Amino acid sequence: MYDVAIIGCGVVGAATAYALSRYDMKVVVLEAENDVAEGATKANSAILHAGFDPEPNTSMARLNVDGIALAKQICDRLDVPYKICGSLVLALSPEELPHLQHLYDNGIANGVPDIHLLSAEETLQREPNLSKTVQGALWAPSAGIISPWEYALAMIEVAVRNGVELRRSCPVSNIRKKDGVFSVSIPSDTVEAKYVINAAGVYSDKIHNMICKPSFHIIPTRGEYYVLDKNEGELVHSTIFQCPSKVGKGVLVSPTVDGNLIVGPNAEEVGPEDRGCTAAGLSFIAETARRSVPGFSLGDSIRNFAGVRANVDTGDFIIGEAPDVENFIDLAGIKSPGLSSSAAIALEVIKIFQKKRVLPEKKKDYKDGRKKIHFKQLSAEEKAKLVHEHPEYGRVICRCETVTEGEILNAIHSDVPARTIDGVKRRCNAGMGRCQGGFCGPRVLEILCRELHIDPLQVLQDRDGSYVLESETKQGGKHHV
Amino acid sequence: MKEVICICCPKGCHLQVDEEHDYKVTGNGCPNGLAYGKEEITNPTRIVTSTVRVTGGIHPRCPVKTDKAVPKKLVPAVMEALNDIDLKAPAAGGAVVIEHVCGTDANIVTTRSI
Ligand SMILES: Cc1cc2nc3c(=O)[nH]c(=O)nc-3n(C[C@H](O)[C@H](O)[C@H](O)COP(=O)(O)OP(=O)(O)OC[C@H]3O[C@@H](n4cnc5c(N)ncnc54)[C@H](O)[C@@H]3O)c2cc1C
Ligand code: SF4
Repeated sequence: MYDVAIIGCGVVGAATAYALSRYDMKVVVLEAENDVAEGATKANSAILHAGFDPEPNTSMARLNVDGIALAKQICDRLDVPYKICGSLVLALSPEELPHLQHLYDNGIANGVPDIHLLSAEETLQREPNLSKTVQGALWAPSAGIISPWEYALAMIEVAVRNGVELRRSCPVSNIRKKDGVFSVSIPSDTVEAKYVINAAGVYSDKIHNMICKPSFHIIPTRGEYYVLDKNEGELVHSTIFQCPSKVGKGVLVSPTVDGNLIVGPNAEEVGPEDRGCTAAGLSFIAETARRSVPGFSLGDSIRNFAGVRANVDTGDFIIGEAPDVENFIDLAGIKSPGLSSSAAIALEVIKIFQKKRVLPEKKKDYKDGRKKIHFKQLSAEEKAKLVHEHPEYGRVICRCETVTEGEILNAIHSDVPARTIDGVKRRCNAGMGRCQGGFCGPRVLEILCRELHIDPLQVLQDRDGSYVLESETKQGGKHHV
Repeated sequence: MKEVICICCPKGCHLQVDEEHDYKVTGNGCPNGLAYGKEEITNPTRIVTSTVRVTGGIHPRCPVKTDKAVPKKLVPAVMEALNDIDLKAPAAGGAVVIEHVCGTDANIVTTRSI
C-alpha cells in the first residue's frame, strides 16, 4: 500500500513527486507512456513566463510568478539548462499600445519583478531584428527559456533516487475507493494508495471522472511549431511576443536553450492525441511571426512539432481536493503557463497535506542535487582528462550536437533510464541537431541494443509501437559462399 | 519524343530522345549523353548496389555491387540472387561473390573487406 499515487509524469507529476520525495512517505508515480514528459511537457514553447498574462487573483497568476522563482533555484540545483533572457511583448500598431499598459498593470498586480514599458527606439535598440513597425514594448527581464523535458526528468530522477517508485507504461483505467483506500487499476495490476493525485494533463478530466462527479471539461488545444537551425538562433536574444489581435494570439519567436530559434504556436481545438502539424497551421504561424520578426528563414527549419494544451472550460488551473471525494487531489487543466508554474503547483500539494495534518517528517538522508556531464561544454583540458579516464567520452556519436557515447551511456543507465531513441535524445541531446538523428540514430540504436541486451527489431523510436526496424534484410541465406 | 535526365555526370542534362528518328538525342551537353539517351530508351541498364548476409564478420552485412551495368529488367532477379547469399568472412574488398549473375557478364563483388 502506498501513501500517495500520482497519475501522470509530465512536469506537474514530476514536480509533485520531487516535492513529496523529501518527506517520509511511500509514493508511486503511474505514467501511461513508456517514458516521462511525453505529453504537453515535451511539446511547448519552453518559456518561463514572467507572469503578467494571467488575470490578477487567479491561481495561474500567483503560481506562475512563484513557480519561475522556484524553477530557477531547481534548475541551478539539478543542472537543468535554462536562461533568463527576458521577454518583450510588442505593440505593432498605435492601437496596440493600450494593451501593453493593460499587461503592465496585470504584471504589477501579480508581483512580476522589474517590468517596464519601452519606447520604439529602446525596443529596437534591444532587438535590432524586429519589425520597424514596432511602436513600443513591455519588457519583462525575469522571463526565461528552459529545457522543459529535462526539467521534468531532473525532478523525477531525484525523486526516484530518494525512493519514489516510477512505473512507466501504466495507463490508469479505473479508480475505486473502499474504506478510505483507493484502488487504482493499471494493466494486469491494482495499486492501492491513501491519496491519489491527478496530474494527467489532457486526460485529467477523464481521471477525475473515474471517481468524482464531472465538474470540468478539458478542451485539448493544439499548438504547432517550427524549430530553426542554430544559424538563426541569434536573430533575437529574448522571447518576442505579440499583442493578441485578429490575426493571431500568442505566436512568439524565441531563442531556445540549445541555441536554436523557435517559432509558434497557433491554437486549434483538436482531439487529445492530435499531435500532427498541418500546412495551414504552419503557414499561419510563419506569416504571423513575420509581423514581429520579419527576417527568419524557413529554409533553416530543422523540425516541426505540435503539442496539445489541456485548456479547461472553467478557466483557471484546478488545484485542490475534489469536493466529493476526500483525499483525491486534482492538478488539472494545467495549460500554459503550467511549465512555469509546476514547481509552485507541487508546493500547493504540500500545503494541502499540511492543512490536513498528514504531512510526515522530512527524510533525514535526503539526497538532493544532480550533476551531468556535458562534454561539449568542457574545456580542452577537461575533455582530454575525461577521455583519458573514460574512453567512451572520446567517441562522438551525435556530430551535430557533439554528444559522446559516454553521455549516451549515462542516459541509458540513469535513475530514470532511457529505453528508446527519443528517450536518449531527451536526456543528452543526441539527435537534436541539424540532421535530426539521420546520422546518429542508427548508432544510438546499436548502443541501446548492446546495453539493454535487446534485438534491433525491438528498439523503439519513441512511443509504444514506434518500431524503427521492420524486419531483417537478406533472409534467404541458403547459398554459402 | 521521350524526356530523360542524363545520369552520366552531375550536370544532369535534360535529354529528348526521338524514338521515331533512330533515337536521336538532343539536349545533351557532351557525347556521353548521346549514348546514354539511346540506351536508356532501347535497353536501360543499371549498376545494382546492395548488401549480402555475412557470417563471422565484424558486421552482419557486407556491401556489394555489380561490376558492370545489368539490364534494368533483371534487377529484381539480381536482388533475389543476393537474398540467398551467405558470405563467409573474411573476404577481401572486390572479392567476387557471384560470377555472371543471372546469366549476364556482370559479377557481384564486395565493396569493402570484411
Ligand atoms: C503548445 C503549448 C505551448 C506551451 N507553452 C508553454 C510555455 O511556454 N510556458 C509554460 O509555462 N507552459 C507552456 N505550456 C503549458 C505546459 O506545457 C503544460 O502546462 C505542462 O507541460 C503540463 O504538464 P502536465 O504534467 O500537467 O501535463 P503533461 O505533460 O501532458 O503530462 C500528463 C501526463 O499524464 C499521463 N497520463 C495521461 N493519462 C494517463 C492515465 N490514464 N494513466 C497514467 N498516466 C496518464 C500522460 O501520458 C502524460 O505524461 C504550453 C503547452 C502547449 C501544449
Ligand atoms: S550529357 Fe554529358 S554533360 Fe550532360 S549530364 Fe550527361 S554526361 Fe553530363
